[in-house]
Amino acid sequence: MANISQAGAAIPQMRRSRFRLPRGEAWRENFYGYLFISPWILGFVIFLAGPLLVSLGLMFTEYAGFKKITYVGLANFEELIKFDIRFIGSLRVSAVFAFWTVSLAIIISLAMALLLNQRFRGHTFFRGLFYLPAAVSGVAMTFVWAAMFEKDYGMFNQILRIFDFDRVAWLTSIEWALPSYMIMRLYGVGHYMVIMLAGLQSIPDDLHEAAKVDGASGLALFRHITLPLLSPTIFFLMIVGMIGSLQVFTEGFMLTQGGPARSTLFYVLYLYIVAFTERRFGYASVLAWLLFLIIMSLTLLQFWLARRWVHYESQEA
Amino acid sequence: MVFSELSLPVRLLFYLFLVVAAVSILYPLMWMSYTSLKTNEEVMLSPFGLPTRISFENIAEAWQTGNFTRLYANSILIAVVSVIGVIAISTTAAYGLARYHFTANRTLFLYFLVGMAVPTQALMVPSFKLMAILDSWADALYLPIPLLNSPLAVILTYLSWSSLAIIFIRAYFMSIPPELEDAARVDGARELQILRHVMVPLAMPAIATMTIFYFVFFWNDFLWPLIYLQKHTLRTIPLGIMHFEGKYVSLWSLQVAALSLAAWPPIFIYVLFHRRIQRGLTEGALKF
Repeated sequence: MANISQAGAAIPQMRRSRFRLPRGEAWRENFYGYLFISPWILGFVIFLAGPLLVSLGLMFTEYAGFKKITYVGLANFEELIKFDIRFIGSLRVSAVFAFWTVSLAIIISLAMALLLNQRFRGHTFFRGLFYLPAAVSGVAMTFVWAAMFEKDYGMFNQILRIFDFDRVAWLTSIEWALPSYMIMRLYGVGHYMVIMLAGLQSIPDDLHEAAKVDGASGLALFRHITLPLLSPTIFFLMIVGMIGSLQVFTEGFMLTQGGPARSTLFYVLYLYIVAFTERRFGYASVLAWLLFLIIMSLTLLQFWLARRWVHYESQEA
Repeated sequence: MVFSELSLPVRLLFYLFLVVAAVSILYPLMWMSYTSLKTNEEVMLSPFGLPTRISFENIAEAWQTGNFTRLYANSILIAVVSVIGVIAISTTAAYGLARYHFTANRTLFLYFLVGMAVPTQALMVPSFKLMAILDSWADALYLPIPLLNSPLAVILTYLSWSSLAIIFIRAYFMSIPPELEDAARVDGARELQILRHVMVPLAMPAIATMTIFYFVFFWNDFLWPLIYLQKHTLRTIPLGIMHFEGKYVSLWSLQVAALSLAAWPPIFIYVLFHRRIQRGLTEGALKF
């Protein structure tokens, strides 16, 4: 037994050495490795790490984008903690938005993927169709949505009228503006669905067959086989979805600019306003770094939580 | 549950549900497309009805007044150059990460995950500043490389976003057996030749998926052109649309026609390649 497990442990080592060049010299691995990644590293350092560091320095300054930069110490942080109501409000708007859109998107896309994973006639056609909106997101789609939400002639209120409900001021009322953006966001759920489908299809059929032979019901199959094996995919979508919805900007910038009464002042929208409308680059850098830290720590938190519920097949081997 | 085992009424109900879902998902896009093909009178008479005859008058007028020739040229330039750059950078980087055991391989791979977590909007202030600095350096050295108010600024920023493509293509490379490369090496192929003539053709599904994905993404992106391109002659389609919609607020039909002009290219690309996108996404799956 001991021999077998040792042999098993040696397999990764052996496979690793296969990649070596005939001469097998370490410097060649290093040389070609670094050579191939150098274009990426260059771009990464200059245009991602560089700006990140610049903004680290800008946090302690007042800077309007012209020649003069004034060092102000910790004044920006003080303002953030003590006086900025817009900041607290925008953080809340984005958090509420991210929570609802990500959870609903995962539930809806899972249901859709389960349906479309059945082998019925036309399944490729419907899959393609449901993914289509994800491909045309952006400025044009946002204006189409504005037309759909329009108070007098918009599609939503026309439908409500058919069923004899009152008109809803979708984008112009405090209580409905944020939910309207959520509906807009969920329209792109096809993106999640495709990845969910990919996850479903990577589950081997024989697992389901074996469980069925043992007499497992449909629900039990879903709970004990499909869901655990799909958990890495769900986890991936949760992280990507959360990062994406905390960064939402374009729709809010074009349609409501944060109104009415700051009910749609998304965090990044506020960041943009501080930076490019009020021209306070120093303070905007504080906001930017805070967002970065929030996203990083939420991601790490999810990785930590994931150990409790995400199931990786290779763990058992 | 196997679909063919279900009874006929259940299957019909299933299809009915799918059709209803499909129609409601497609409705906004269909509305946009057919409204832009209506005449002005028809739009006034029934804003949400179907057109009785197809007319291109609004499309033509939107193209003219919105200066879409220029918008298309700007958008295509930025999207095509950026996509080629991103794919070239990430294919080589993915190959390096998948196949060579250089000292920092693992650590660098973790950086990608960080790279993906950086909210790009958080970088807009310093990136803007950085471009101004680089521009002044280029100026001082008499180099003809304008970075302020230039598509190059947008392209360079996009090039630093390769993380997703690298992760995706790297996973695909790792699923290719190394024997093929060894065989090419025995035949005397050099490393770059192996990448170009062995690996890239084999990883085409993943590369094609990423190409389409990034193209649509760059085509639709709004924030970075907004920050870097102030001159109206440099506007991309999303920027142009925003100004157009602000200018012709009362001209509903003209507005919608402009939206169609912006949304049709990604729809067209998608319809053309959707099988490929889906295959790539399924096969590439997400192997970390």
